[in-house]
Amino acid sequence: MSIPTEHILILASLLFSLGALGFLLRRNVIVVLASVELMLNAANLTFLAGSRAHSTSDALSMEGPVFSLFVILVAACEAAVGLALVIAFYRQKRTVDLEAATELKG
Amino acid sequence: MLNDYLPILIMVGAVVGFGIVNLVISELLGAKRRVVGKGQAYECGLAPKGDSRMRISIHFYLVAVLFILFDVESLLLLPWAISAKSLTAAGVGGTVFAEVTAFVVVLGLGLAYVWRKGGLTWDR
Amino acid sequence: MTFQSTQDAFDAAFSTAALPAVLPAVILSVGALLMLLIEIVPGARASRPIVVLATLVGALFANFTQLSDPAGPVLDGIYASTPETAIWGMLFAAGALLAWVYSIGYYGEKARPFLAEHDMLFLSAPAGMTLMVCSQDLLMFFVGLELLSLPLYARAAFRRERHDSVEAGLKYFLLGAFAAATYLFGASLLYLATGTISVMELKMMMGDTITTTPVFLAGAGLLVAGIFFKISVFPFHMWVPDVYEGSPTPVTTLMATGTKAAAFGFLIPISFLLPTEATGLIAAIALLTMAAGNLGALVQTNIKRMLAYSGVAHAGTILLVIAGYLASGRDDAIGEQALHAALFYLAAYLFTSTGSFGLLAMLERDGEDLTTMRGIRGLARRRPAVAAAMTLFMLSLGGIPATGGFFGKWFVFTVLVQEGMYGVAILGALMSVVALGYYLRVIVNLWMEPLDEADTGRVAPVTLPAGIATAVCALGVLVLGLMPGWFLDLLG
Repeated sequence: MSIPTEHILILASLLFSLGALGFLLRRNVIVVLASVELMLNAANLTFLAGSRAHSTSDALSMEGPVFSLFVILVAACEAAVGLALVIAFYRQKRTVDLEAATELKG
Repeated sequence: MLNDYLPILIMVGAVVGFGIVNLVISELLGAKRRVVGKGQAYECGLAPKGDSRMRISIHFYLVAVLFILFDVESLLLLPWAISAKSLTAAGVGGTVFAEVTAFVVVLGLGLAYVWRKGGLTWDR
Repeated sequence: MTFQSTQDAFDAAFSTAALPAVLPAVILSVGALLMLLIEIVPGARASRPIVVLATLVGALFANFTQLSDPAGPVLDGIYASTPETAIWGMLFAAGALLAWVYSIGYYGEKARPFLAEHDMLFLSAPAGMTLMVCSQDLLMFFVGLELLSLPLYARAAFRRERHDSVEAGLKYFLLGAFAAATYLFGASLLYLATGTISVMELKMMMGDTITTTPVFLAGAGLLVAGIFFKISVFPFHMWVPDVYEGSPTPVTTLMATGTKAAAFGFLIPISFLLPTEATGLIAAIALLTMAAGNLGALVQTNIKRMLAYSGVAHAGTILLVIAGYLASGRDDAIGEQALHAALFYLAAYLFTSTGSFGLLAMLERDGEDLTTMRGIRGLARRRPAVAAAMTLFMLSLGGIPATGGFFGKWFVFTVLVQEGMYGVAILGALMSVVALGYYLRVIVNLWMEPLDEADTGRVAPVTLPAGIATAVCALGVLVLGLMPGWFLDLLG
């Protein structure tokens, strides 16, 4: 008796959709970054669900967990670079609102 | 199938119930005195000082980011840590250890760079 | 993959035969790390240009040795070295080398103390690109993608005192983060559906009922959409001109050429994931991308921005080969032909685009108002050589015969015509004619009388490195345009 893979897939899809909506609709850069993290975690969840679904009692499907490790790692690096950019942006504009990004147009 | 989720439901019910019951009991039985001190923010028993929206040095950000980076990068040692025994049993532990060492040396180079550039000094 | 014992798994993963295959990426990564070392070892700073040059030339040579004697799949099949990847690798190293030469003297006083960091981030880019095209595995591609992208975000905002540079960096970052997340969710769905992330194993599964399940199709769609972001395909092209315009020009050069080439180098081999029913959709996306790029470019007065829109249009043109491949019913021979067409197209585009962006970087030093349509008026009189080179690059971008750009378009449309997609081919060709409009406008302005005689004094001398780089780019365009067979022979 365990949770069926479909349920995990539904949860992950919801997480991903919420993240994508947040990314597209919110104007605050910090919230946008958090939305991206949500999307990445949806992928992590699916990777682990996939690993569980494809593992047998004598052979583990290791691609999923290892992929997740790399995703977590890259997410941290992305956050570091992203927040540095946000700080540089804030120093110039005194706001983290994307509406203030108006230098380049046309 | 939904029975699988019953423990979670019971857990959620217990948590929410515990909170509600406590609030109701203290509302019904507790003494009600209104003094200035009760309305104030609680800061470990000390009297609050200054504005809570004060500016925080950017240096905290730098330290936090450096910590996160090195912390998470050490995550890549995890698969090795798990499989080290079986690798040694197969007689290839030494080679893999050398490779892991190379990875750690790269991390060390990053640390040396940060150190040298003054990223770890608080007063500049 | 399952193994009999740990020893077997180890032998599959680490054989010395893998060394020549991974050597180009290793050289570039070690070069990048040496930049950090140079920065912290006292007195080592002066060796920076030598190390950068040695790294890039070394990578070029390491790729060259793989051309005649490719190692094939190595490291348990997650990495492969083929003649195609060797040529991609050589293009990346050459493109990075040219872009680096153009960046000499580009940055102002404020950025000077950070040049070692700049080069460290710079060398990561070709390393990431090499990993991307050599990867035979969804995880390896992702690592390469991030190794390329993360340093590029930082380098886009490298002139951090400037508002446009920081904004470009932030927009590029947000776009890239969204693209990576989309790619990852697609990859995770594919893994959930099939239990593998290996490209070869996925390919063997094609035709199974598993590959028509909604989870698999959604995964393939999201994965490809994630890569579409990276190659600035419609409707993901909106911020691309902003990013290209705001970034320092040598960085734009690499973004426009290398990133696109590396993404296509992986996208075309894995486009078998898409169902053949998607042919029309891909063709429509490609044509819309061409339309959006060309119409956007037509109304620009800033040449850097115009070239950015033109890059979008070129991405659309290359995307057409995937439609051709799908129309053939995912035929392997057509797939190889499509890959070679894209390889040729991007090789020509790399030299052309690097040359034109490089010349812009040079002209910017005279004053940024000189990189507009008005500003370049009469440049031919002040600097005939620069104007002549620019004219050649514009002709190649427009696809005029005797330039590399012509044969690139020729090979792409050949794939379409072979598959009987005459309508798409005609629309694509019409779009290319529209594009000629704005390329010719640049040429006309170059050779017109100057607006204002007083302006003629404001020219910095052409530096020797920039001159050599421009000559190499022009030579590349001409060799590809006059002797295309030579390039195709390299592929065997």
